[in-house]
Amino acid sequence: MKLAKTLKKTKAQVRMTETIAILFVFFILLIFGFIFYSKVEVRNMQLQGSQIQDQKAVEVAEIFSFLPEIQCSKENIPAHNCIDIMKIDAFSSLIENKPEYQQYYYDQFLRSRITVNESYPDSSVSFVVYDQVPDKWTKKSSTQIPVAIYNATGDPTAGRLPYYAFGIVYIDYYS
Amino acid sequence: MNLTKKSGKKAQMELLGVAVIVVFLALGVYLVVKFNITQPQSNTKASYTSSQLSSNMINSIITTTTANCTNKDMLDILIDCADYSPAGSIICNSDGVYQNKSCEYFNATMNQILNNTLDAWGQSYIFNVTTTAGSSIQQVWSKSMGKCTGERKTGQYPFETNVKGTMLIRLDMCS
Repeated sequence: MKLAKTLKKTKAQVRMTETIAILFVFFILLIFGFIFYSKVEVRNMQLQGSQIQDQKAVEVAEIFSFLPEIQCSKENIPAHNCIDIMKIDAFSSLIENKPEYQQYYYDQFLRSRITVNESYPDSSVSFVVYDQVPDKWTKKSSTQIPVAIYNATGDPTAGRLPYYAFGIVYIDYYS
Repeated sequence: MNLTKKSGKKAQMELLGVAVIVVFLALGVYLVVKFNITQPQSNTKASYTSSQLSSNMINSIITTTTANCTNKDMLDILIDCADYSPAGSIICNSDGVYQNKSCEYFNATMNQILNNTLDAWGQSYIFNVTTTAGSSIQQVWSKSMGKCTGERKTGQYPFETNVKGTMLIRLDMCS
């Protein structure tokens, strides 16, 4: 009677240990699965964030490329892929000196730095058109757009007529 | 004897259960890996930059006014080079004996522009200018950098020359 009782108790203990072991393994697997899933999700979220930033950078580049304030125009018809150096000069000084314009263009260009560099004929010519680089940033997304830069005055000292130079617009978007 | 057989069968059933669980787990992990990790990420910015670069580059270059070649633009120089290749007929500079004609001038200017831009950025590309008259295709100018085996973004502009039929300016940006 006593032996049967002891045997039954031992069997129950073994079953209990077995159940605990199974539960232990199950929870270990569950924890591993959760860690794996959360890592994948974090990675996906980072990629999504990066893609959103890239899209913003492209958006800023597009807005700047088609900005009527700086585009070349002939008889009021804007020329695509061409910027007027005199308009650029006026535009950058306007943004620099008037806070209300700074606010207006901040809505369009956000936290970015836009530079126009002439590559040919004179590679030393460079203009900073818009500069709102934040003090702290984690990622910079750069876009380059080749453009023709129109100089309506030419170079009177060298007797040069109005001309088109070849330049690059550098757009650095910060987040 | 019968009891041992029964217990062996139970063990087999349990093993089968474990095997089924393992199979389901493996399938789950495989699906997660397939749809979340190995999914190719669409790179909006790279795609935009390449397509913009290829078309804007050609457009800006042909609009550019030459610095010291009778104030002609690069398209005039290129068409002259295509018509009267291999040297061209427009004389840009001359020191009495040596004459810098349109083809040489175009080549030097293009090298300067591309060295300052695509080459400096490490961008792989194939730049080709050809003329097509009837079934004959003639190479006017070409330059390439890096390997071009993957996806390409192409910008091409056809122009009519005076003598050599249609001239095609083509720039392939390689990823």
